[in-house]
Amino acid sequence: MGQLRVLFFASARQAAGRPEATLPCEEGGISEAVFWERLIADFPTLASLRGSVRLARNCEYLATGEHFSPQDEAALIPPVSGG
Amino acid sequence: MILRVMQLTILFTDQAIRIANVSPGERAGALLEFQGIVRGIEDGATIGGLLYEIYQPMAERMIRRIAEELSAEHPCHGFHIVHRHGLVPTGEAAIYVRIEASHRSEAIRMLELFMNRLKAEVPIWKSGTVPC
Repeated sequence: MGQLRVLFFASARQAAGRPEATLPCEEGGISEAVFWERLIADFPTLASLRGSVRLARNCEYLATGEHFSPQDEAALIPPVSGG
Repeated sequence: MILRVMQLTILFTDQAIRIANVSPGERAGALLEFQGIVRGIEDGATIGGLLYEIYQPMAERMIRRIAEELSAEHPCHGFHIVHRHGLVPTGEAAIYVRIEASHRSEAIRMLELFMNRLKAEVPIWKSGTVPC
C-alpha cells in the first residue's frame, strides 16, 4: 500500500485546514470514487465541496475513468478566479 | 519552409510587476500590452487588496498549452505573461500580458481568448481580500 500526495488550494485548503495530506493508495491505483471516500473520511469538511471541486492528477485535470497511483500528485482544484 | 516558433515566457512572482521597455522584433507590426488591475471595490465592499494563490506547475503547463493552441489559429511572434501571487494591493496589476504579432487583429484576438481561458481553466485563485 502506497501513499498518495494530495494538495489543497483556495477554499479546499481553508476547509481542510492544511495545504496537503496523504491518502493510502494501492499499487494498482484507486478510482475517483475511492479517492473521495478516503479523503472525506479524513476530512469531513471537504464533503460539501465535492460537487464544485475538480481533481487534478500530476498537473492535469483528471479525466473520466482515470485512476490515481501511489506515485501521483493529486490536487483539489476549486473554481478558479485568476487574472 | 521556415518554421517560426512563438516566443513564450511565463513568470509567477510575489513582487510588484515591473514592465520592461521592450523593443518589438522586426516582424512585429503590433505590440499589445494588458494589465489586470485590482479594483478598490470587491462585492460592494472597499478593499485594500486581493490575495492570489497559484498552483504553479499546473498553471504554467496550462498557460503554455493554451497560448500555443491559440497561436495556431491567431499567429503571434511573442507571448509573455506575468501573474502575481500573494497580496496584490488595490491599484496594482495582478497580471501583465504582452503580445507581439504581425498585425493587431491576431494580437487582440489572442489576448481576448487567452484571458477567457485563463479565467475558466488555469489554477489561479483570488483567495481572499485585505481590508483598507
